[in-house]
Amino acid sequence: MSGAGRSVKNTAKNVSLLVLVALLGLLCAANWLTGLNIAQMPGDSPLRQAHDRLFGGAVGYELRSSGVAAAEPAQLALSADGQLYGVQYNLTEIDAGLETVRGLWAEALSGGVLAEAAEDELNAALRAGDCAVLRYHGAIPLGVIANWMGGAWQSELAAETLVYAAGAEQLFVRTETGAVYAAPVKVSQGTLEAAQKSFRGLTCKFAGGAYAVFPETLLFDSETLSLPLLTAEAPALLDPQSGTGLETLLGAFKYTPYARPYSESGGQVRVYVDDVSTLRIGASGLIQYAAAGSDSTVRAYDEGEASGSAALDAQLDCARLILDAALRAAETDTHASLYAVQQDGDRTTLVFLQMYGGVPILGDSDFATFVFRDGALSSATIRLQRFRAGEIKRTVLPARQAAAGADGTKRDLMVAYRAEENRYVPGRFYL
Amino acid sequence: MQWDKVKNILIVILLAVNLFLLSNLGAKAWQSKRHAEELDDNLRALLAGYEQTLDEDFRLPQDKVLPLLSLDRSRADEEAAAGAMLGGGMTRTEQEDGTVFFESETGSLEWGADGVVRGRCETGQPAPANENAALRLARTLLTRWGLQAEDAAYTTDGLSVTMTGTIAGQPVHNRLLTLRFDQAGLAELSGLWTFGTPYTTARESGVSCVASDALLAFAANAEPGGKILSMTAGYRLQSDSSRRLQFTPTWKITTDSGEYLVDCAKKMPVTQEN
Repeated sequence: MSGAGRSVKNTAKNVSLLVLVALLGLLCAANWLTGLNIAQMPGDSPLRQAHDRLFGGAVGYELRSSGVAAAEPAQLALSADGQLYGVQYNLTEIDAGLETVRGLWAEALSGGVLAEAAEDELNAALRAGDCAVLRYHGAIPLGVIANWMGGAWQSELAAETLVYAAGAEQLFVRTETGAVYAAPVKVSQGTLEAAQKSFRGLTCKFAGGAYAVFPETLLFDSETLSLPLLTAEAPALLDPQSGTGLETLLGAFKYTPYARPYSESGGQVRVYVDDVSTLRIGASGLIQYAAAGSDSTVRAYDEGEASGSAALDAQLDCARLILDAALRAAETDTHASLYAVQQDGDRTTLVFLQMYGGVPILGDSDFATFVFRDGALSSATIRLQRFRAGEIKRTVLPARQAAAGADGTKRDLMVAYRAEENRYVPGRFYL
Repeated sequence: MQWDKVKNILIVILLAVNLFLLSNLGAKAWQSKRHAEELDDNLRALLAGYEQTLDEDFRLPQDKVLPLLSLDRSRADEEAAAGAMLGGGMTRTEQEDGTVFFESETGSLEWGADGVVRGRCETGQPAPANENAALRLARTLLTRWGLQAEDAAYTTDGLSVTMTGTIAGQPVHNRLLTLRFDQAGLAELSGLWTFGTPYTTARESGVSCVASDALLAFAANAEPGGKILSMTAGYRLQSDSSRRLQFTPTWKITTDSGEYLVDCAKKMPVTQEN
């Protein structure tokens, strides 16, 4: 064969090799893709997104790292033209108020350095100009609140009350121990004015230094908080007529509806067991989940996938979604709100309380507790109850009168339902 | 010369591996086709057991995976729409259950926390004479009031015009607005509507919408003697226990007697939900 002929043959072989290698790659990818279960892929996976675009799936929605806030504020306030307006203990009013002040808090919680501050400093700032208040039922990590509002803040502090003082250009943080921290923060005038324009509430004032309560306590001018008395009953989770309630609850803990349970306590408790976890569902509404170490059926995130605040956000989302499903399953007409977060090494404990229309219901034990280890749910306890509002209403002692009666040993005020003779009665309490 | 032989061997190996992979893919495709045919036969047999028939044009749609979407209520958009509809001097009252009531001299509008909207107002235009005029006027008014939809589709029934749209590229079976005109120059607005872009969280994996499961669940609960014409995967709008708006993956099954919804996750007709 001539030199030119060999050269052509050699080129043809090279081209064939290249084509065959490319084809090999394509065929390997195609074989791999056909074996994938798209349903199990999280929404942020690029492969899942590409699949949805190509095969008519859902497109054009937002993907949030942390979804919905796991806690509802107890009170919101904002001053405009020298007058303070506030909303409290009403889910609808809180929702509407939060919508208008979210932008303001996103700016206020966009970073800064907190330092311990004196209460006099806070008191002076409250009188120095326009203020915004955001108060929760429990102590929520500041970074988590910032994330819910659309801001970002790196801090270990857990905040019960946040006060933005526009006059002093400072953010004050009241922690669960009663300590006050402050950081220089400035919200743009446009954002503040936009919030002031659309915020609606009842007129109120700060307690300031006039009473033996925290100075940022809101005292409403004509407060008539009249709430119905509640009676509790067990949810019908184990009732054959309860529809898909039990299936929803099992699904929340990643159990299939076909899992075969065994009964305990004369059929009052149904126990589901798989290789790594146990789920006990009581007719009384007590749900207990326990997993062996990190081999849990429920994981907030995979090992090494998230750390720091992202890990906490993922665990909060995971707990919130389980609670949403449990409340839906039991048809309780209540909702859960984050109350406390404890972090100890790789162990995170989340405590939730139950709310009826924006007012917490306090029992002898916490409503729900979730314990995560390295992102895996190691135990969970939920006490589900259905509440029925009676016709009798009780007016809660106004904050102004409660503040006047405070002796200074307990300086915080809270409205909540508490058990009294088989009923849940609303009242104002010192904390 | 040695390289020449190596290349030959490599070409043969690559050809063999590629042929194996290709045959693997082909086998999967063939199995999938056979499975679809078997599924179709079995479905027809099972549906016959429930005294249901499939229309000749019925084609079982592809299964889908749709994420559960949430949406924050936008009172600002609701107020803007009401303002555009009712004009100046509008008053706003919010009830305890989250329903917002707007009223002015020209009409009123009620917007519920679950997205239900009801209202009546003067259009400022003469009453439309026919369906086409009603459609033109409805388009104009809905656009002016800021009630617009992605992939908006309009259907008319006399002087009633219904607008539907998509969310995240999927139909929402119960999200629609109907505008009814009367001869006095008034328009009545009713339906279920939302504003803004829905969202999901990164960890949500999605809900499998399996067409055959939904079809059997529907047939098991349907009145005997029906004919199933078509089915479409999409969403239905509902509010959850925390009053959050949610788009839940749902099949819509159209029969000769009407339209029915089947929840993708629960595999249960929606009317039978608790």
